Amino acid sequence: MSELPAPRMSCREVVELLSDYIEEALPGATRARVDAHLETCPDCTAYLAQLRTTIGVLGRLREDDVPQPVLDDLVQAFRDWHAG
Amino acid sequence: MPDIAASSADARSITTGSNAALISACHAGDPAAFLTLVRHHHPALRALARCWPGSPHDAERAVAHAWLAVLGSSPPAPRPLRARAARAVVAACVERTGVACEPAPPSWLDTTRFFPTDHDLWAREWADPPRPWGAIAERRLAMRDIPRALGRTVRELGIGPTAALTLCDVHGWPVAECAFALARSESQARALLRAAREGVRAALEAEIDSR
Repeated sequence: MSELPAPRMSCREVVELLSDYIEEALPGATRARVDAHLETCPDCTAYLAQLRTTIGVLGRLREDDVPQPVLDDLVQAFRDWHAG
Repeated sequence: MPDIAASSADARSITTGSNAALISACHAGDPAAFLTLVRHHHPALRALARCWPGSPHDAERAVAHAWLAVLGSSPPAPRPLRARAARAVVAACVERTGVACEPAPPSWLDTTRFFPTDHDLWAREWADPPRPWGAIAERRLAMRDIPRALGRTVRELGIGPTAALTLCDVHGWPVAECAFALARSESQARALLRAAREGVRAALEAEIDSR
């Protein structure tokens, strides 16, 4: 006799998993259930899209510059450290 | 201060993940190697230190302390240099402020947007579903003032969620490195990230829906 299919996840269950879903951190069976839910749920699909957009916007908060005075202080501290 | 340029070999080794050649050069006293490490990793470490209360100067001091601590120690485990440096930053910030990196809040989702568990037909389904943001909202999110407002929202999430979000979503670190930096399990780091992402998404949703 074949196994019964897993019951459909509720929207709230799916939403609670979507951050891990994006990280590809869900076990295979759980991910398959989330995928099955998303195929038929435009609301959870919209939530997932919003979460992905949010992560994209957060990436724009990155500040890569290190001011020269900070670099100068760090190099001096490094030299002092190395000189013992 | 001297003009110290990083070599192309240094630039290549920074992408290998081990940074072993640069660390060896630092131990030999090569400031160019040190600067290469700093330029590559300092922004994420500084952003992490800024998750704790204090001035920008306090944050820079915490990162400087971490750099020298991590260079002066032999690695206890095969962890990337930046993760070990981040862990030292966290330790310095906790020591300075007395404020620990708290765990994720147990309740991070607005459950009022779902039908209750005992609903006859729609238990735990959306009662107030999100509206798709669409192209206009996406363009609005690309404008300069949104990230600025978002920075405030992120800082208000609490230190743990803010730190996880800063490392993983702002600076693109894997969860495993973030977990090591925060001295948490990966599952705890993911919980921090879940709560933080929902907090920011909800803030963006409120902003978009208000227009």
